[in-house]
Amino acid sequence: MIEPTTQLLRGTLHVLILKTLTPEPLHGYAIATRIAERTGGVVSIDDGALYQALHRMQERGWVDSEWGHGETGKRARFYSITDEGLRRLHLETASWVRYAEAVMKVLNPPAAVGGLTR
Amino acid sequence: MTKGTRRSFRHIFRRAHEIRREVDEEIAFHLEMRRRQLEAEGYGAEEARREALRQFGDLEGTRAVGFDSDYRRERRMAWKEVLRECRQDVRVALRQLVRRPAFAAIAVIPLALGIGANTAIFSAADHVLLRPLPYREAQRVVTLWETDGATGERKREVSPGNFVDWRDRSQSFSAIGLAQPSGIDLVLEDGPPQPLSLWRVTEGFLPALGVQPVVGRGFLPEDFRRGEGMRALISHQLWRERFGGDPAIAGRTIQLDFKPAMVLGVLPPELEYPERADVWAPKCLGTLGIRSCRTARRRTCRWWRG
Repeated sequence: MIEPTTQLLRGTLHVLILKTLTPEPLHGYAIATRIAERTGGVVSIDDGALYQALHRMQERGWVDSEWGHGETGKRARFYSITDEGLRRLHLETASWVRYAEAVMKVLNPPAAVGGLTR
Repeated sequence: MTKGTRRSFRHIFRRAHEIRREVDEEIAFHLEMRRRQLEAEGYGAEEARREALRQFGDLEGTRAVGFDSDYRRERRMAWKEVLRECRQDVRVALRQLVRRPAFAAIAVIPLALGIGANTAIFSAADHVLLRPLPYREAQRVVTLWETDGATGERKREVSPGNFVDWRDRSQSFSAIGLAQPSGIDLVLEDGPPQPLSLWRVTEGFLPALGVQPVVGRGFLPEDFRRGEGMRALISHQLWRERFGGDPAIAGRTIQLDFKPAMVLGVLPPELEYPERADVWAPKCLGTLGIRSCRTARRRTCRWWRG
């Protein structure tokens, strides 16, 4: 389990949440569970950090929320991604992919291949 | 204000405790779901509850961040709503006024008159009453008047005879002076003589106001002795307009009433009392002066005490 203690991971958290919300609105517990499932348990987020991120993203207009009823029958807040959130997701995804590729180039340099001429 | 605008205002101020309740409700739902999941994994009821709390992390921090975020967002949305409603109200009102121009005139004209009158009155009051006087220790400066015991006439200008008595016998004033209005001509090389307003002041007048020249020097005791030749202080405006703000004005000789007069200095621009004047000259109250002044009491003398 990776503990989200770094600045880098906080930025990644936004991307993970936005991506998770793209198919359908979810409540906070469902978001946490889905991220853990998708990453095979490798990334598991502090619940408190998740909710803080959700509220901040809502304040910035990247997500919206509506009250509905959860699995227990009790009231739960369901989050959905906004147009601004989708734009943000595309930007951050592109930026994250570029970053990851750059890191991989350092960690896994392409093997030099040469054909021997007979 | 329409019902819509009033409603929006009330909305802003009611939501704080509701927001707090909603944040708590959201967290409670999550903890309940987590507890159920842990119980399904084999935890006991109490253990599951504690573990759910542990896995949540910073509960109080999250409640605080959640509340602050949501409150700010609600306030912003509420103000947007208020402004939107106000804009709508204004549009409706304008449409009504355009449809009934006579009524609009009845509404607008008194408003315009009222605002105009208010502005004029306040501008005057600001200048006369509210702005501080440009004198050192202005709260100690007073104007003195005579009261005629026989006729009961109050606030008459002071005669030099009385002034001399007060100056010599009274203990109440650190400085006391008299000012006599007059006129004088400034003789120029180019053009006809220019009439100037003049105040003749006694020794204590400018010290009573605490006025210091901005260029050159003020009057000294020897300036008040007869036979010294004319000396004068000029106003800031005269110095700027007629002498081009010449920094070497002090000591320069000018022609006043076709007689040479030495400019001692320039007075500050704020000095507009008793009335604006171009030139200030020393006045010495010899016995001759008193007699001639007593025969012409009206508007000859004013004085201040400090």
